[in-house]
Amino acid sequence: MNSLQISYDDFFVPGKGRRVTVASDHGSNRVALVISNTTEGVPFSVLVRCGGMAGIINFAGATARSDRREQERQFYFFQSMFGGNPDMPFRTANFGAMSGGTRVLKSSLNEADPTGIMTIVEVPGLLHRINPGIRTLGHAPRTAETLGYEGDHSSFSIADEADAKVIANPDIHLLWLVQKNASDTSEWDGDVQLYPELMEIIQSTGSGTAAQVFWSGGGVTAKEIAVSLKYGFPILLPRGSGRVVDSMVQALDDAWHKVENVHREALEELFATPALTRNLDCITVIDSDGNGPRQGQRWLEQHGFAA
Amino acid sequence: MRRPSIGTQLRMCSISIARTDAISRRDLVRLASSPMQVTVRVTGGAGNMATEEGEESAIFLASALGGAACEASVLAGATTIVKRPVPGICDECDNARMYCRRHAGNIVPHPGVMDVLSRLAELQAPGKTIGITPTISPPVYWGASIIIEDNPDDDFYTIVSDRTPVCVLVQFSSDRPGLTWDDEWQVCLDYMQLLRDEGSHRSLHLVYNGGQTTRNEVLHVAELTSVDNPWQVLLIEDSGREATALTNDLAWRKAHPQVTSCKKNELGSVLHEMGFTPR
Repeated sequence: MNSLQISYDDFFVPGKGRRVTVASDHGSNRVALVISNTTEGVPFSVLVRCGGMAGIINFAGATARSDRREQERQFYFFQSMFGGNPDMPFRTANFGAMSGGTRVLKSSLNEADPTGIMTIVEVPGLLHRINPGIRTLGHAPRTAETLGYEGDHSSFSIADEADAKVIANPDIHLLWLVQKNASDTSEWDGDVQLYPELMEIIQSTGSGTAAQVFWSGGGVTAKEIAVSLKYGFPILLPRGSGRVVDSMVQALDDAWHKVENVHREALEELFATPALTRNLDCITVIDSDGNGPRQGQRWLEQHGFAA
Repeated sequence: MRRPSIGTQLRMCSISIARTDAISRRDLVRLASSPMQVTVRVTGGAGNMATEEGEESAIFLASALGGAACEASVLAGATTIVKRPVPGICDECDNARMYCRRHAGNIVPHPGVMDVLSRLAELQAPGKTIGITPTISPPVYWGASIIIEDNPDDDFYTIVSDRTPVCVLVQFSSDRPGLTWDDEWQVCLDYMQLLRDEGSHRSLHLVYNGGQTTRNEVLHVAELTSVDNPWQVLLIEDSGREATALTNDLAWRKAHPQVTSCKKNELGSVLHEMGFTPR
């Protein structure tokens, strides 16, 4: 069993926008930062650091701010699924955990309480806290015109939205930023075609399975589901996690009348593409509460992510 | 279920744009997956070695690297030298002076230090290996082999080895395939540089015998500087030709303290002491 149980407030310490240093020192506590152009493919520096992992799981979905109850529900779901809850003992292999690699803050870095909040991008850092053998990577498009230090140079800000600040996640080993080029920013889906290549390369070396776990999410997540189906990666959808994941589950159940209008077009396109639909059996649907984490553990065992 | 791999997986790389184009991403991940964070480049003699000596060198080097327990990333050439067929086997063999498809089974490989890779593969060592092969002349597929050098003046020709797990076959471009043997060690350096910089690997050039190309490589590597991770070179003193000549060049040795040497019978323990085989 993985031993450590962490409370939400121990993970997101109020008032702490933790230091993120731009560095490339392997093995240090700093977040290594790699920036590449989309035309470059997967950078060698990212690949070398992926050697020796027992497979890789990418966590994708909602990064929008939600209420505290939903944040805690998501936090404790993943903690339980990956062995951080003594009531649901489970021991994970030392695989690679990957996500968008950012941290969404509750308030601006320059305000008094620049605390992170739970979104899907926090899962790798949480898993590393539960099992320090798990290696963590982030991939994100460079959506900001400039990257910069904020809040007395304490953190590295990579995007500035109207109501939230986004910094490089301080709980990962490596953040890979993808840009069109030095002059042009990317859209939020700028890395969606590229990071699955990294997963496919890792899988093709015989190191283990490359898999995707989704939680809620919007338009970009719908694209990520489609790309994952194209590659045939095992996909886990927690039913009830919200938005596009729930719409996808409804579409799988042929309950199209329940699919949210905002997702309908993207999902109809997906279900009309034979190259994608022939891989639909890669998808496993579990519950997002109750027995969901246990169902998730069985899925992890099935795909070689259990120790 | 994953099918067991058969033969040698070939990667075709052109280096016309940048040297790093010869890097195969999936093999970089493989090399970085070796249990120990060390990379050993095995370099030295092949064509001009006696058969027994070539055979002995490959077995000896694989054994010194730990044999079935080798945990290092190992890079070497991925070629096989083939003695030309004696006349009279068949018209096709006689005309081409190479083994035809029907008589490809008669090929007796002339072993050299690069056979260390096939030896490690046979032993199923956990360390990952990669063979680098430059196309010296336009590659030709004939007689069940890919021929990469066929100099009519030589009594041997060179084919891509079918006994190494992975071979990166490097050309300048599809229109201008030809490279030199020096390109092999330069591509090896590209892999090693990435593993050193991004994977914290320590590196070693292990030099056994060898001719002018080996000498070029060793002289080049000996000039590479690194403050905290030296480019280490180990010469096998009694292996002959350039390895022995460089061992005895005392003025050059004095100027390059990262170059060390040992005798054949000391190699296993020296590699162990240097931290290139498992503790």
